[in-house]
Amino acid sequence: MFNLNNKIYYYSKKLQTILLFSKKVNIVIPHFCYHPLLSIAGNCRICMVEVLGSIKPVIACATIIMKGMIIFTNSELVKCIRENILEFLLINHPLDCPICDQAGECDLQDLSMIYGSDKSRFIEKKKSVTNKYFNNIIKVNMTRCINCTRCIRYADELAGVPFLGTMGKGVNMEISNYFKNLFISEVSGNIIDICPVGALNNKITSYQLRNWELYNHVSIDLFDSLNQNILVQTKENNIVRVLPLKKNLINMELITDNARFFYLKMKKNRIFFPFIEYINKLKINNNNCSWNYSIKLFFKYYNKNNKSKIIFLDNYIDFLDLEVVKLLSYKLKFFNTNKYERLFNNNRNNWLLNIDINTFNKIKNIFFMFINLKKTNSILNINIYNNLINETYFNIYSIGIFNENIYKLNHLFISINEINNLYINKLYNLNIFIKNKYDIFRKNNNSNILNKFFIMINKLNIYSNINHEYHYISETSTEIMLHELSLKNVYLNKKKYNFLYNISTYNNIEINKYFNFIVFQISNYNTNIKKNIKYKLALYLPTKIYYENLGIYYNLFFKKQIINTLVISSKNSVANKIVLHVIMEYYNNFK
Amino acid sequence: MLSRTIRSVLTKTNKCFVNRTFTNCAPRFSGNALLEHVDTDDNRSELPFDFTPHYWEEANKILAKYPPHGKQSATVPLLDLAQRQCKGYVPIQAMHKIAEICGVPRKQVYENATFYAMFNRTPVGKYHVQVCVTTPCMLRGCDEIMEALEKHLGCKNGETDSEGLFTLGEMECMGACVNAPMVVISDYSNPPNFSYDFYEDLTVESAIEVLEKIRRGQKPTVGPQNGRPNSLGPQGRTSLFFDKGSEVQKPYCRDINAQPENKEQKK
Repeated sequence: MFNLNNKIYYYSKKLQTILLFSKKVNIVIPHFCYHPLLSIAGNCRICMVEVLGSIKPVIACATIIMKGMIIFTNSELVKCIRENILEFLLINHPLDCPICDQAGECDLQDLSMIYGSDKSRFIEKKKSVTNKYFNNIIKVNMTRCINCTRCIRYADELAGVPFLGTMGKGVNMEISNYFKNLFISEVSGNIIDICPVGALNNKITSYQLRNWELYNHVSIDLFDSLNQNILVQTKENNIVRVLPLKKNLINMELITDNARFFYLKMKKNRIFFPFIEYINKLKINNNNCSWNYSIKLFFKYYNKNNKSKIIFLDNYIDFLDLEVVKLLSYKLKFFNTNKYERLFNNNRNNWLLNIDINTFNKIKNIFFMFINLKKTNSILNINIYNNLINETYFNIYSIGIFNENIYKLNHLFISINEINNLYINKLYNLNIFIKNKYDIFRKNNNSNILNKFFIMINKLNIYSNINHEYHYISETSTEIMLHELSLKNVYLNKKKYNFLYNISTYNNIEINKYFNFIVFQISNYNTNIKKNIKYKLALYLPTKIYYENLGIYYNLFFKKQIINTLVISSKNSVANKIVLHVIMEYYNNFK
Repeated sequence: MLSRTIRSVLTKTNKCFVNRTFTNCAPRFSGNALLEHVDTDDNRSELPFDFTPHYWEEANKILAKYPPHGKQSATVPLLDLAQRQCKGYVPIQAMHKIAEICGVPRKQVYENATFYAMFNRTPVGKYHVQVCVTTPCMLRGCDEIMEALEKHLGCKNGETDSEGLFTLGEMECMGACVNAPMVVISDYSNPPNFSYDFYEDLTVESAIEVLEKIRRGQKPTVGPQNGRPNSLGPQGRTSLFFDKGSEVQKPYCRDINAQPENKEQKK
């Protein structure tokens, strides 16, 4: 048993720090350098508490609760300590809160409001620090730094880019990238949230917003199959800022830079009216038209070209839309294509990640097949890296195109010919599969090679009784939903096609074919389309972006997630499923 | 606090050097004051760097002390070797080479090189003169010596003189407080040989004389300059008398190589 603020709690054998336990019991202890995701440094000293019997006060973040301890977190001594330590922290801190972007959500501001004193006794000269450049996302104001070293630990332990360090010593110690190293990472933006003061800020939203003007919406991000949970902040019907959602297990309070700045892409070249685009004498002409006319045009060309009607599905379509697409493809006899190839088996385990994010630390050996986890799923990659630091017995192998990662990969250089001819004896590299159990992460892009590889591993199983575990990592959540609905897809073999119906909220199309007539159901006019696709006549129908109406999505772990309307769209843009229903009804009535 | 109270006492008695006050003192560094790398002609990451065979031998001796997973412990001794080879400073390309040898991220070597005041990150002269400025030396008048040396060499603290022979610098306590004030001179003039000598019990005149002797090519006597042996007091030896010829009694120490006895066998 031990005593915390005159209350008795039962002592458990599980080691716990004072700060973590008091969080459970809803006792607030202020902290700067402590962060749940990072290792404990214990250098800010603001979390000191009084323990009866010890001469000096102790830091709550690093002391473990012992039997019979008597702890006070709100005594007068503790209040006095906090006031004095805040005075020390504020010695070199400039008084520029009115022009600081962090104001309103700054830990130092809040704590000095609650615990701080009203004046400073410091008369001597203040320390000055040269400014730094990290990145084009991060705005650095190094004079505001209080040397909590959270950013150093984040760069070392999670981002895997050790570029920051504590240079110098004593009073003159400063955090700097000595050789002017840059922070090049997919998850560099998180350093903005991790900094407790205004030293590291968002460069893109600088001087544009204040924390108290914004409305918060819980939402998800679709640029990743993980479907990261995010907090979207809006101001006057515009998305202004995106933050990671706290208290969630899926992305551990971290998000990728893509998720942080996804809204910037959506603002460009928005389509508001349906229009026709045709190429006449090497000139591109645009003509606005009404909704009625555009649907009539649709069926005019639809009836003309009976033979090949193709529907192309791209990213960020929600589950309800896909169900309508499935109906449509049966009724209107569309052939469906998408860039994801169909799997052979309909068993759900074949297209999901079969482990929880919590059980990642139980994996011992990893094998990556034709996959670059750093780019596609960087949050999962961070998770593996973080476990790798703590435990050294990881075996990580990879096959396919060699990509550099933040941790060391043992790359197997196996030629495609070797795999095609199934010369097992020559593949001495694959002996690793006989020794240990592996967790195999794969992608479904080049299925021909992959399947032969699977056969080979199964043959190797004759020598050992180990069952390897297979995990599927999809690119986006639509891929998972396509497998769930088992939508058939067709390979495009010919050069010329007549009719294409394309639904994609925002992405590039990757078909190098020629079409006579194309319907783009699209929210943003994308000039890159013309590089990959050639056509005679195109009809553009404006739709809502995925966060402008309700949508249901499925995760890589097959977790159902919902996006609510974050922003109200303009009158003319219509949701995907409404357009699809109108086409269906029109077809039924006027056939 | 201690230095502040001493300051207040000293100003009352008017014994003190008045120029430097604690409120206005500049941050103390030895060598490069900037905590950022600045490219120069000799100090660039593009330049190749490797230890010479002589220094590789010593480096291998150092690396052999540590197990393969603990190579990072060798960063500080290797930085010292690199400083001797480059005549008094560690260029950035040497730091990168050391990071490669020890298998640590580069920033860890930067941290070490900036933390320790004995590593210089900008070029120095052939002789690096460092004056101790911690409390006992300060009480015995190190500031006067500093001033005198600045006047004599014609350069300020942290700079090299016009000949490129001497570099002036500050240093924190060297542990020779009994013989305060003192000066350390590290000799980089003939590379494989390196010396790091204390000159103690200085006055303004004797400090200048030490430098003049070095300039003339002579070797000044190492240790106290006022003629007393080691750190002996004015009364001579007052304790620890030994008869002539008798051995000094060593404190008791158990035989480290002996194997522990088995208690059961004794019974």
